[in-house]
Amino acid sequence: MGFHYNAPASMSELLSGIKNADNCYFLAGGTDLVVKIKEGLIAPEFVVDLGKIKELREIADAGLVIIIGATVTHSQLQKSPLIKKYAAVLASAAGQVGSPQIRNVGTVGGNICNASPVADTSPALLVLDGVVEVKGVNGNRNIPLKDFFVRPAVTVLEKGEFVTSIYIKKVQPGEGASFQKIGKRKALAISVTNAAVWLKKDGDKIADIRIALGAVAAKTIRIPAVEDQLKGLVFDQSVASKAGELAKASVKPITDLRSTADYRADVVDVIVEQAMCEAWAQAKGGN
Amino acid sequence: MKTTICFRLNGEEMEIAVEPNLTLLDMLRERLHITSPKKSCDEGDCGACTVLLNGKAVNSCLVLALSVNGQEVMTLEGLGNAQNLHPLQKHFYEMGGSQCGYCTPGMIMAAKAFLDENPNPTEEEVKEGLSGNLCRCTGYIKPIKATLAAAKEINEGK
Amino acid sequence: MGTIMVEDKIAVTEKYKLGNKYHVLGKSVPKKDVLNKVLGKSKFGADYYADNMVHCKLTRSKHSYAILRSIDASKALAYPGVVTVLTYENVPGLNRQGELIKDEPVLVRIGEKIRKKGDPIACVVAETAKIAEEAAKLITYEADELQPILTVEDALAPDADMIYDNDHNYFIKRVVVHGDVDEAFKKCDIIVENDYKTQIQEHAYIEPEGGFAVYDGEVLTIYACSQNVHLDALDLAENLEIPMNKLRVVQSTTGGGFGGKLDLTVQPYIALAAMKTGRPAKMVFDRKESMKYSVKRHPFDIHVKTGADKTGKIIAFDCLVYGDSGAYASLGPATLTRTATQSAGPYEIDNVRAITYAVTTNNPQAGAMRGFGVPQMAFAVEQNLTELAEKVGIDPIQLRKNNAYQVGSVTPTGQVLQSGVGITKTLEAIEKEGPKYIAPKKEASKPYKKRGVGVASMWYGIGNTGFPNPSGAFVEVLMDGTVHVKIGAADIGQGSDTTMCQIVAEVLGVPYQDVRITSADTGLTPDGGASSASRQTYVSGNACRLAAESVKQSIIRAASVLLDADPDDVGTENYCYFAKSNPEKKVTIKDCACKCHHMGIVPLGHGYYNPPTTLLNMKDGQGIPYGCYAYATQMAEIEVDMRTGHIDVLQIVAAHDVGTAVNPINIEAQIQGGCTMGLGLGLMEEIVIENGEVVTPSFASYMIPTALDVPIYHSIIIEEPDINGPFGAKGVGEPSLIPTAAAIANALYDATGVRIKRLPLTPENVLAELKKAGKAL
Repeated sequence: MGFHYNAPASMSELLSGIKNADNCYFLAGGTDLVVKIKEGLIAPEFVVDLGKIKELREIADAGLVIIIGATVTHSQLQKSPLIKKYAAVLASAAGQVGSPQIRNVGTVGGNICNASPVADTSPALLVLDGVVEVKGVNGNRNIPLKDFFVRPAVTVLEKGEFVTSIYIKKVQPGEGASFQKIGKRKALAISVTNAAVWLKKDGDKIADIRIALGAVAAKTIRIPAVEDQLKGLVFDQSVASKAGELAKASVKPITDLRSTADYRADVVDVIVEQAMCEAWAQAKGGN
Repeated sequence: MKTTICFRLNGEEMEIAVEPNLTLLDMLRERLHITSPKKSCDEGDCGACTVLLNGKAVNSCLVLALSVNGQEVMTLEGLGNAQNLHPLQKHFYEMGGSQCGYCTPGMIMAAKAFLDENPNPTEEEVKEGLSGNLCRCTGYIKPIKATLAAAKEINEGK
Repeated sequence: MGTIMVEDKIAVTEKYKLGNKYHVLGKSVPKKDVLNKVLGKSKFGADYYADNMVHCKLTRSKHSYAILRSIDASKALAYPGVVTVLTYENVPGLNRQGELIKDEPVLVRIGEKIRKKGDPIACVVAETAKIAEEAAKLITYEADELQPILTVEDALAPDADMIYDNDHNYFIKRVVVHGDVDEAFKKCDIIVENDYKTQIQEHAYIEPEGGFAVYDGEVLTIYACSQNVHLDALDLAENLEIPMNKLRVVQSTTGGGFGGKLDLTVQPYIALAAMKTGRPAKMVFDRKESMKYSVKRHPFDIHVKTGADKTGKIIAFDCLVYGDSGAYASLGPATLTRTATQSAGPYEIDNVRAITYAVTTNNPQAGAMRGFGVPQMAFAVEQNLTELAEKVGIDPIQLRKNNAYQVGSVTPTGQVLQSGVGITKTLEAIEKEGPKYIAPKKEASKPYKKRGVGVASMWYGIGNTGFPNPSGAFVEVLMDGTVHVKIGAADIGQGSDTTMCQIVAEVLGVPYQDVRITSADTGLTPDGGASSASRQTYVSGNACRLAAESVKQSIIRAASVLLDADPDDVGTENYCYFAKSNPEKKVTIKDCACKCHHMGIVPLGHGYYNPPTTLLNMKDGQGIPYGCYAYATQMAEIEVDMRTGHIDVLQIVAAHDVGTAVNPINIEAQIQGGCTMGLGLGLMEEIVIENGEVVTPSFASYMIPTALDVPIYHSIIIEEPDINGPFGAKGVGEPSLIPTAAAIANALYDATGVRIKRLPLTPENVLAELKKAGKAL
């Protein structure tokens, strides 16, 4: 029933007090963890609350990249002028998580460590080429987000490791990005499927592109094979449609309580196409 | 295995010993008998337990009591009283904003946090601001109108 | 007081041009119960605390269908903090409950059948809720498993096992026959025949069931959420084997009901625990428990056939309806009875046959839910009618107008409608006002979307179907001139307390704020029947009117002495009584109340009212099921995304004939709330059952509309007073939900040419049908 709770006030206090234990959990908001504790799905021995560490709650401009602290909330992402200016796709995705109350508590670090394939921030972070900065008892490492997820609730993090921040690339002039989601209602909706597209234009051509899809596999995925087929093409509506078709052909979604495999497959192309078009429009506008 | 925490509740200093797995909601209701935050889903899906934590609306069922140590919590009990209703309370009362009343405390607190941040909202923004609070009776229209009316009154009073 | 609300209230009252004849009736006064609600002070069942109280938690069956052989509570009893464990042996009286049929065990007896997942096996009583919850998991039982019956088809198969000691697996079969249907169909030029299917809907009240009981050695007092405390008391007295006058059931503030809190929930367990332990007892269901084990809206399989001549005059109507009523009767028989009487809609049809079954299965039980079997029929019948209009080649509103009930029309049960028939006015209002909000021809907002407009109508009989359902009221004028009303009717948020106070204030000529009400407390108030069937404004409202009129006789007697006038000469105006022959001289009601006491009279009135109904003939359903009817027509504007199947409901214009409107803002609020629940039924809500178990027991998996999902509503209040209603008032609580899903379905057809006959119209369902029709993009 009980566990040891610790809320270190600084990074150094955290690092000195880390428990290299199997059932040590990091509390980075708690919208998932607290429910799991209450339902008895997990029985932690130690809970380390990251919420009091100031540097983990900050969003920082680092030139070409933005550094997002692990306990930055979805509300912060949604409202941050920096994010809105350079990573509007992430602000948009964060703004579609749950509800205002959930967004005020849920954090970006918690969201990715929970490794839910339906998480709304994951596709946006993936197309912004997110890199996860990890610290732990055995030192530090940086993991590209595309290599971070394993399956629902499982990441490559080892015990005693925790996420300190996520680096994302700014969306530059001539680039655009868009997040699209299909939910069953307009708030408090877990995605039936979601997708994000980032692209860079070169004249009429797609110079570079990244596509991420959620809720169509055991984790949020990038589809590099599809991305490669699109690079260098002259953008028009038919290319956007083709991107949708290719994305659809590359996934095998499942049926669960939230939706059916057929339906998910039917709408993946729609949201990818939509995201492509919006990303292109943004890239054009930025020129 | 209790730990003593200190926090401000509706402006008053509180000191209470809590177990690690106790939520803010259960602490308020079961220990302090502050009953305006309601338990409905107990997993963040409905907003009935909404309180303000350092001025922000949160589902108190998702917050560990221990983590409010040193923080500031506000519930509907701290908003107004019968002699001096907060504009939100007044307009929810007078404009049909509450029917069964179970979602009302959470909805008013969500509206309060929302208006603090966005004092001049559009109707669409109010909808967004109340979108974390499920209501089964009103169809939301009257609470939305009441929130807009409260915003107007607050602004006029400034 | 702020000016915005005053403007708003005046705007609403002005908009509807209501209440001009009355001083408080028809005015949008604030609700009596809401001040405490906005202060967070209302006490719901979970808000009761006492030192020394115990907490209860049920151990429920994991089987859908089995015979209970043994219960082992030893581990729970040994668990620290457990006070006692209750089993069937602790139920002193009748170990059964049920609104209509006593078929549901309070706690399953050994040797008896478990009939659904979640049947109560034992109840742990412990020092804390957490201990009770943990200990309840330690109770085990043995049972001989039986093959559960989980579909209507299996239940009605000729060789089916009988779930009850009976020769059929249904709680009721209802037949309503009027005219000669088979002959009439032969004369029809156009016949529309379809099968429809509706889903299980959950009430999803935000307050989970909760209550608190205290036993003082003589009287047991129960505070719990409820829609009918007097019936609760009758059932509980039988369970406990104590006289009803030693049992006081008080409705705690009730966080929504919608039919789901008519059945007993926590009450028997807290009652047993309080009496056994001598300590206050509390029980609150968690959300999962509430959604898994509470009653539900019946899923219907509907076959419906509508026939007309070539002008569109409907000549014949035939329907066959199976509702899966689950394991226990609850209010299933009443639901399917109402379905049979009202299935044909608000249309005069000479030849009608409706056959309905409340089928017994081992699924969660279905019972009362807002609309009582009428919303499902509206989804089917109103789509059939729109299809018929298309085949005839006339406008769907015109078709409805051509067939709408008038005063003097005869209903399928043979009732002649005497007054208050507002269906035509609602259709005319939609025809006239609808296009002001919803342009008849307009492009969709996006090239991949289509826009459509649909209309649906309904009628709804106010009160219980064909059964006496009286309500009583006491009204006392106190010595200071204020008034205290006592009624049994439970205000569950719909506003009955407010309505009753307005009616009493109107009759007595006193200010609304001088009237206070105590409601739903069997220790203080007379029986008010159930807050269901949209009946309290009509039935308890009449009781209040009669009680107020009776106390007014005493007041007038006193006034006549004070004014030195004949009682017949006494009038009331501006909160004063005066002699019509000498209007200068006035006395207040306070003067009159004091004078009453000097004259040796207590100014106390009582009254009761029962709708003028008759029992329906079991064979053909003929009789008078209801005292009055409410009518409505709604128009919905939608856009559907042809790529994803998503429906966006943009606007709903809702015209409701409520009789006389007592409180326009409350009526508007009922319309908006009902339409929103109807929108949920139409678009997203569905309880999914797998092997007899609800697998959507949370607000994450069972989705109700949020603030962002509601469209723009335009409410139109039509006043077609009924001679039987208090000041002509009828009801609106359930009618507001009934046509919404049907209007949306008709709008979907208008948009796409695809008619979907299965609810809900989820994106998955819609896209699959669009694809089938080759119309998806």
